[in-house]
Amino acid sequence: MSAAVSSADTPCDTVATPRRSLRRWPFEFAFREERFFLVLSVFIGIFSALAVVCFRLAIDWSRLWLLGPRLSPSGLRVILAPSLAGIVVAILVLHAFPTVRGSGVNQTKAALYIYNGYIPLRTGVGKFITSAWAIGAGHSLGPEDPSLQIGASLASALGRRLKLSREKLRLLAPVGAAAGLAAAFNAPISAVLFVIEEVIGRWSAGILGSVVLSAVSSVVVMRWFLGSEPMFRIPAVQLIRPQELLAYAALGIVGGFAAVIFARGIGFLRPRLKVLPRWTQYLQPGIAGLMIGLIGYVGFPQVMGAGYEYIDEAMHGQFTWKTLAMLAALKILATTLSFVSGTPGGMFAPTLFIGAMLGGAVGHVERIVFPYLTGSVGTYCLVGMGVLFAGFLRAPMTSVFMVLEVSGNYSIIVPVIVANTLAYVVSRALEPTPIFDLLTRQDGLELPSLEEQREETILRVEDAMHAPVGPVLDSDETVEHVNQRVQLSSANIFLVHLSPGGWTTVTRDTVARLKGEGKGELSLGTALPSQRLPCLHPDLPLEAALRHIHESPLLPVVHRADFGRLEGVISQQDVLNRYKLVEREA
Amino acid sequence: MDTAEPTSKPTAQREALVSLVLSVIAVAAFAAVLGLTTRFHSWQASLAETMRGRGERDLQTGRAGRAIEDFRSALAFDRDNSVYQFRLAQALEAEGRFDEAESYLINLWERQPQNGMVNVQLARLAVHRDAMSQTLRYYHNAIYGIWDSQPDENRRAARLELVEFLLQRNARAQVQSELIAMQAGLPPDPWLHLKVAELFRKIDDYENGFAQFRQVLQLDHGNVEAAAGAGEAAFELGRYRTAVRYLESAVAANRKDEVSRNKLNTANLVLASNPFRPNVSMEERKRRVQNAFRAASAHLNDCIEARGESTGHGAAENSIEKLHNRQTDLGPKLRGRTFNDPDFQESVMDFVFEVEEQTADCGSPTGLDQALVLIGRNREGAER
Repeated sequence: MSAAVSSADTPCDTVATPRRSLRRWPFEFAFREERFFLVLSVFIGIFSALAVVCFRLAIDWSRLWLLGPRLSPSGLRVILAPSLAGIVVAILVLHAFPTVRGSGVNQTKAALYIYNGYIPLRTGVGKFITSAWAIGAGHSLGPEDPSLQIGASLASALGRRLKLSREKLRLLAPVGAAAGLAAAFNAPISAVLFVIEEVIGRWSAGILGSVVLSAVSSVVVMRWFLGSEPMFRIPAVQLIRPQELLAYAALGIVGGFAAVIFARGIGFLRPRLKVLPRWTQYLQPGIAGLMIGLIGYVGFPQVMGAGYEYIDEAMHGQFTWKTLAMLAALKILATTLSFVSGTPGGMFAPTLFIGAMLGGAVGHVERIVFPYLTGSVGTYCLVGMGVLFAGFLRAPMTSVFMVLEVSGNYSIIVPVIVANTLAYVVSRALEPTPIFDLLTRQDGLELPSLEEQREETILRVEDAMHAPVGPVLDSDETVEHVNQRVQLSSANIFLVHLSPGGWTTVTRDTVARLKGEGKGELSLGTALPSQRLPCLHPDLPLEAALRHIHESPLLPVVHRADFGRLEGVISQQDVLNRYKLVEREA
Repeated sequence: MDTAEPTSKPTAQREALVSLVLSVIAVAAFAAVLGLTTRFHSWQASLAETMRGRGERDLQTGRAGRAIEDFRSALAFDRDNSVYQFRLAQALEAEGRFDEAESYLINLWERQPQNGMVNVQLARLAVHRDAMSQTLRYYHNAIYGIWDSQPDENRRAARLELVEFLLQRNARAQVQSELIAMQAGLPPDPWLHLKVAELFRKIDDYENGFAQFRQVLQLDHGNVEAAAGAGEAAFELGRYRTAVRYLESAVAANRKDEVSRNKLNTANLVLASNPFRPNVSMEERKRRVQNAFRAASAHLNDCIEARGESTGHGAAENSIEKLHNRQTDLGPKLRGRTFNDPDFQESVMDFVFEVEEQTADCGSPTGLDQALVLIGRNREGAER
């Protein structure tokens, strides 16, 4: 891939940061596809939102049908509904929709990186049916991750139907994922960030426009049907004393530990249940449902289903701190059971539930110990949601924006950042592998991770360049004079500064040959063929040097503001040596 | 897993066609989902109303715990429904879960700070917490706030609640100002006027109370309670002739009303014993003065006797002794010519009133003594 830009006024060919290649198709043709892709993103947003609206209705309908209209269903229903629904879901997953296990985030990521954006529509349909049934029956899972996968599968199906290029088809999955998540969450910015952080796994300007368009159009449609009210009724939030940040910091630390317990529980149980005989897989979701039903039966029906209504209640001080702490602990247990049993459903809602309850409990206790604290329990619940999101899902940016979008209050940003950062740091220190990466590896896949990328050392040209070994020659010097200078040096290749600007190289043999041809009185610039080398800059990624190193055994590294000022030189061997050094250090 | 192979290059015509087809599909899908959501939401709304109905029944039958569950279930279908939230708050309050109730009410209040119902409910919670300033604030918000139905009635009810609260705190001045503000806008409803009159009577504002009792009688001539109240108010205001008129009708209508009967007797006694009444002949006046002197002397002697040996040397004993000396001095003059002198009669009555006042601690005055005390307090008013 080359992106060298040259013009008559440019002293040397500059090397830009990598850009997408336009070589395969004519530029105009590619531009038209880009434009059509944006239009398509809007349609994907609309279709995904419509699907998510139907999905939400299906969950509500399942709940009403299975558990009845009362918020606290009768004891028999509480036990039977999730158990029987679990068995039905297991049969469907094992026989009709084998690819719908889990949350859907990893599957979408795998589609992007492994299957060229291919997600069967059958997966979306299966996810819709099984997740709606399971969540409606009371399994402790959420609708967001399935919505993400439903959106992605719709986008993929549409892309295949329109016979888009492989490159575009691959990008459609995250576009649909963002649309589905935005619709489920009523938070377009968070959806976009989450897809970038967790699905795409890298910052990519090329797809950002499409992802944003699909997310926004999706949210607009969703709000048309389900209203524009935020997901939670947020109580008044404000930070009066900066010292209170310590209280939020404590919440962040507690949240970090809770996130680790949650992640380790899933990471420990999931592979052990997966290796059990196949016939047990018919029973696992049913047994998980039975245990969740028992939790509901003994007095904690709040842990069943997504639990958004109870988050709302917690925010408005409807629970004591003991109840909140108990709900947080039981939700971790219930969600772990549901998830590791292979029941399709998401972890967003349970994460928010646990965070809200934990935040409320910590807030309550802190307010008892330090009565001067002014933050309401609702504020702690809100911050707690972000804390678990940052600690468990390891999406720190999404976690901050999620809280801001959900609360619509920017005055809470400082406590959120403080608490989320601490939760993220604690969680990362205790559990280096993020939960989605852990699940991916348990499934035998290796997908890129933004968190890993963040940890990667970025090598730059300055890390490999060195000062020129021999003299730097000038093109105005005569060949004779150059030959004398070359004789004094041990180097074989020399950098030549062209006049009026630019750089090239010359070898010891070439200089000797020119002298032998009787061109000793000619200037070196006249005697040499007019070939300018691309110029590198010290801050460029080292991989940028690799793309041009074949053009010359030695490349000049020049100052960005003065192309005549040589900062160093770099060769292919220098680059390889640097990479080897990093490998050894690792 | 299969992977798709790109086979088609986009062209302008194809793009337009695809966009058109997608638009048509989007519109059709939109309409279908709209129909689905409309039907589903109407079903949910009917379920919510069913749950609300159950909640109302449970609340009415005192099963607040079940009502809470019902209203919560209704709210799960329509979480921003302010009626459900309000009823849930009421159920929580009935169950004694005041903090939770307040939380819901505060939410409602933040959305509708002028809502009368919400403010009244918050005021009741503030009463429970004994938070005076909040109680006043919420009640006043309710009184001047917005009510969906029967605003005047609800505002009056809120003010009456506030008055009851203030009465419990013995904040008489505030009660009086609330009642004065309230009486200005009262409709011609005897019950309401009677209620307000009774409240005025409770804070000893007999002037306004009397006016309200009269209002009641103008609207309902046969209202016995109003007659008794007006009689009592007039009595307390020292308007004994007026009091007699109302008390007579009250006693005539309710012969078991001993309070009114006693007041009537006292008022009659005042009127019959008052020597300062106009149009009383000289002889009659002298007779009344003599009767008053005899009664006062007897009361004084009883009091001296009652004190007996316990008599000390305090200021009270000195004044009693002085009164006794004056009694001894005045007694013979009542039989002489001097008694025809109106100034002398006046000084005798001064002595009588002073005796009745000074001997009040020897036992509550009854009969003629009580009448003389009242005459002494209000010499002119007794004629009204």
